[in-house]
Amino acid sequence: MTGKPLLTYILLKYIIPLVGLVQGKGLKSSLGKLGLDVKTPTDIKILSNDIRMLIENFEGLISSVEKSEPIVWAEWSVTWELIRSFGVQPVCPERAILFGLGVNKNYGIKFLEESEKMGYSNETCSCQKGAIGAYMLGQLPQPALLVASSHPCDSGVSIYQTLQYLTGAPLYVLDTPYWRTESDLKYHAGVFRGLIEFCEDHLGRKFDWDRFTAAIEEMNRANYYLRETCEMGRAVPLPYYIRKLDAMWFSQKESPGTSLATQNAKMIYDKAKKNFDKGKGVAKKEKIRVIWWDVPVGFADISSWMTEQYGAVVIADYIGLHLMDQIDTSSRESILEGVARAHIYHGMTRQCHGPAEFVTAELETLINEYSPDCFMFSRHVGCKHNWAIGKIIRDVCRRTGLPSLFLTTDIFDPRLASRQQIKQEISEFFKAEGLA
Amino acid sequence: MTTVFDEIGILSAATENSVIAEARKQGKKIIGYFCSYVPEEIITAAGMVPYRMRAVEPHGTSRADAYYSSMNCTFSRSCFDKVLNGDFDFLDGVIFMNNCDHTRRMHDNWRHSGKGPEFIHMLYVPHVITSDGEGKYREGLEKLVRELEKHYNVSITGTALTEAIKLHNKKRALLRRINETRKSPELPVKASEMLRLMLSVTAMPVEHANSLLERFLDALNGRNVSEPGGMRMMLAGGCVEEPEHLEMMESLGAAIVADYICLGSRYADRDVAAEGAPLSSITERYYRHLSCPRMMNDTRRRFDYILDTMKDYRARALVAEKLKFCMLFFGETFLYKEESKKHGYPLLVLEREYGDRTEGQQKTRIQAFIEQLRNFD
Repeated sequence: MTGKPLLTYILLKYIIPLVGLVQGKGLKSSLGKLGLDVKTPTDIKILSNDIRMLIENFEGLISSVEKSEPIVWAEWSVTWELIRSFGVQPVCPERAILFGLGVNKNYGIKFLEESEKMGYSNETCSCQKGAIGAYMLGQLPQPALLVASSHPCDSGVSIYQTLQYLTGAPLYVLDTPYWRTESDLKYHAGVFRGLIEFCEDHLGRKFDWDRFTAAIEEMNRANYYLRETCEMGRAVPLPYYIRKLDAMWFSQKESPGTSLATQNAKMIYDKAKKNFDKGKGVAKKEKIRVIWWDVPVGFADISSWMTEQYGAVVIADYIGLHLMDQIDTSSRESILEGVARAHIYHGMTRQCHGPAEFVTAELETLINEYSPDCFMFSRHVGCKHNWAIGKIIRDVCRRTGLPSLFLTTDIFDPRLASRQQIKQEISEFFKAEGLA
Repeated sequence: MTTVFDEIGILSAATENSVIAEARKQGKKIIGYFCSYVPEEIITAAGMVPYRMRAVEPHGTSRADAYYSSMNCTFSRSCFDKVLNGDFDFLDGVIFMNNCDHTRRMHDNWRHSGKGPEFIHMLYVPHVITSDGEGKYREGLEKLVRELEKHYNVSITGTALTEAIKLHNKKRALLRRINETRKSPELPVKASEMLRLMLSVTAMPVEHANSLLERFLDALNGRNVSEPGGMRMMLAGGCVEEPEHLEMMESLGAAIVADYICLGSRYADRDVAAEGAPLSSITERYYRHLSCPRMMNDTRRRFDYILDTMKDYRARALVAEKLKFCMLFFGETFLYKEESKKHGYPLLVLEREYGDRTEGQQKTRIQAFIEQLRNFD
């Protein structure tokens, strides 16, 4: 099952002109309404870089398809710097649904419906279900290899076996340890070493350590800015905009080690620092500080709406809180250990592997240090491990006196809870808690 | 006169059966464990009794629902409900492993609930079968041994492990012999009886289990429970522990002659090597035994096992089951459909809740499937 990934061609056709367009003032307000927070020249530059990174990946993908070069599918908690160091183009199959929804809501839903037609149920994670649908509809190119992680969830564990079966491509699994001891990190570093060997064997290419090291050093620079930005989240009013940090999760995964990603991280940091120094927030008048637990809803910009409607700002969510340590590049061994640590502390893997204490520790830090007024658990339907610790999370909120809202959503499937339903629940919650 | 079949009927129906109760009276500690990756030999070698966790005698899920949610599987919720109800208060310890998102969170919920026992351990098992993974699994077993020794002030010696290996190998060998009898055209034992047997022998000291298995095997001599026109089938799935569910299938004409379920042939898949360092042999066997869908790089071996077993046991069709919200078996059963098309065997996939809450629907589907098979014959 393949053919050319038409969706990529279509997206590329529409996105390239955007680079020029976003630099014109006419689009500012409409882009702002899309939640892109395009208010200043810096915002335009950030957006422009985001689009450039997308274009580079789309072009790389199309070029690989046209030249019959190998393409590696990398599950969405797997960052691309290692795979790119083989000179091959990775693609994130879970992103297909997001691009499908970007073109047209119904087009994204078509991916889900295709997998449901094959027998996939609606309780499966829509990101992965979308990947199957996109592949079956010829919107994902044939992979040479698949790389998946054993976390964040059972859906991933299961679906990558399905994808391997359907595509016939060899699968490498980044086995993620349950705990975070030194021994676990060493084991996990070995798993990354195994990935290099696996790729060398199957791609017939040598791993470029120099390219990899350079990418890691560049990633370190970006991660420094991102972590420092997140540290400023303690300030009231909030000096950064969560959507930008969410976008950096994708940039750091799909364009890691590129100067564009670093530029964006620095611009986000600079802007936040400027706000921080002036005691200025991103909301005109900040009234409510929200911890958004789980991944943000992908088909609707809820955080922008909350800011505009209620002066509510999202302090952190699973992917917008960047907690990556600097990777020691002094030796190959230290790089692999650093990469292993980074994978474990990558947003989503960080909260989804291991015991509940990993989750509650992060939550309690946010509660104690980031001055939240409320907590919203979006409860993506695919994250069964999250659904399974509702009481533990509720008890943390109860103990700390934090009003909490437990939603039922699917990040990419508006059929489960629509934008309107989510907004309505949030509005009712704010009013009921006396926050609005 | 009470037969061995009556005996397993009583033993399997109880959360704390009479043999476990007797072992406790004699001062034995009872250690609950989840999943086939936790080696019973280590518990036995510590002088304790391994008890496979279950949700028989369920009370529903209302207490557990406060911890879990309606998006979680009913086995986990039913089992944890029993924890909250105090049904497992007789346990002296519990060993978890990170098998699935629902059960691994019971490790969190159990600790959070404050219900005893004190010893609640998580054994980490990698999601892949590799040599490094085997080393990691071994490290986890060493940690388990150390923590059992420390907590209970016992010594798990090499000699004790070797002795435990012998006993558990005998248990597996007996189970394999019993399973082999199901290859015969004249079926000596029903799947529902096999499940009762499994529930019994995974909740008692191994010595007692072996004696029960020997008596069970003897009782199969010359026994024929085949029903006229019974449709030979294989059953695949994860958590199936309700004999009544299998009885319902049998009453509709299904003759389940083989299985790939947690409490079935996977349990007795292969022996622990008698030679070599005992913990190394245990590591090798448990890590590399016939896997479940949590193991991401062993899919083909599992499918081949099903194909080979269906052939060996002359199963006409495969019935695959999954509990609602079980993502691991969802993917697996989805691929069974592809496999059945490729290899041309009839397949029925059933999704159900623990405790047969949807029995009416299941009945209709099984009945229709069997009729369909008969029409083809």
